[in-house]
Amino acid sequence: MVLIDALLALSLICVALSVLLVKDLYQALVLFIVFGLLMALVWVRMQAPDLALAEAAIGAGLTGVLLLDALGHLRHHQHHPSLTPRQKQLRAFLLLLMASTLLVWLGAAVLEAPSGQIALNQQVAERLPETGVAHPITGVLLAFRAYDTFLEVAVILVAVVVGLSLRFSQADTPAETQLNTPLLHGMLVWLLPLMLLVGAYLLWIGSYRSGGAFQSAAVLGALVVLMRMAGLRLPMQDQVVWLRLGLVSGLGVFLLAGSYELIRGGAFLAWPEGQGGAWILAVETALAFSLGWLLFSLFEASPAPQQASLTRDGGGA
Amino acid sequence: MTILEGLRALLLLSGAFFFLVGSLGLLRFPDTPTRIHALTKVDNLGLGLIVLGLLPGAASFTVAGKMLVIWLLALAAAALAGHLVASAWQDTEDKRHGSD
Repeated sequence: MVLIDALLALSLICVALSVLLVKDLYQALVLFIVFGLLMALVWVRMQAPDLALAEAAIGAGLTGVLLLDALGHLRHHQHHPSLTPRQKQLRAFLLLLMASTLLVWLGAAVLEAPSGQIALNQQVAERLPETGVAHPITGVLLAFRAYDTFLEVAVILVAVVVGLSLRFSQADTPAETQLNTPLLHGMLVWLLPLMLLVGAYLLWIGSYRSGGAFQSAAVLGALVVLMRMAGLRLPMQDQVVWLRLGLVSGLGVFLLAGSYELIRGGAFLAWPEGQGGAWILAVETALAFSLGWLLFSLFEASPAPQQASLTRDGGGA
Repeated sequence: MTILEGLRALLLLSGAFFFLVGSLGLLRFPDTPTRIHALTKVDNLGLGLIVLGLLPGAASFTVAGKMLVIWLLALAAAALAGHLVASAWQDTEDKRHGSD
């Protein structure tokens, strides 16, 4: 087992280095996806299956698809601004400065780590019954540190809104993608209900074991991405009202549910006594749906994916 | 070591062998179709043999069922991905020969 861990750590560092050093963007991207998968394995070995699921689904899967899409588009707009040697020097110097500042900062954080042992896991275990959920990760995410999760969702929403507005201010409209292969369509008939089932399952088991809104959202997002690539359309996809409602519903429900206790005189994001489980499940359902929709909108707004992203030589050559 | 354990070890090892050979094929084969062949073969046989080897040790029927479903999904995904990559490759080949 030690050998496996050492091999994993070693290959993780090697892949990380190659992502940075490799010249070809496509190779760097594939290596980045490999890095995400290896990272997921590392999380599994560190007994953090929640993180492993999120890393594999979002870090490697959806981010990989988005980046591949971006790369396919980059190839057709290759007007790199040519920098003078002086500008290049300046850029290298700035990057070096930023990187070394970060390094010193992280080093200081490690050196000045609080000395006393803080057994957070024990504190969580002691007070978990109060939250109404049985899985400590969900308890931390949606009860003890609900405020962090709330802000996290807000950050994602803002990022997607900025991305969408940048995208829609450009001249060319979002592409109609269609991979017209009968095999894909035949397979989707089986795959889509299964993915819906897995998404709902991941959401439901979040209350007592690894799973939850983010993992479920990744599956739901992947489901709509698949549908789009196969040329299937959701009936409400073209209506801006539905798009906007879907995007804000997660944060909105979170905010409303969190305010309920506040209005009754309690604290913000404190769930009503004894009903924590139900409230958390409701918020998580809204989050899963909305986050899936957010992830999908990033993909949906992207310009026509090029075949370049499938084969290395960019469709020609 | 019982016969069952020996059989399981044999299944797991041959599954690992297929993964090794498949990776070798992916690295060494000259063109896209042969590489697809190497990859999909691994998903079919390598994973199948490993799942088969793990089945007797599964904690419950649910776990065993889940492993079988995972294998079936991997089978379907491999066939579909292979098909999509192959058709993308065919497209670029057609374009290349068309433009000559």
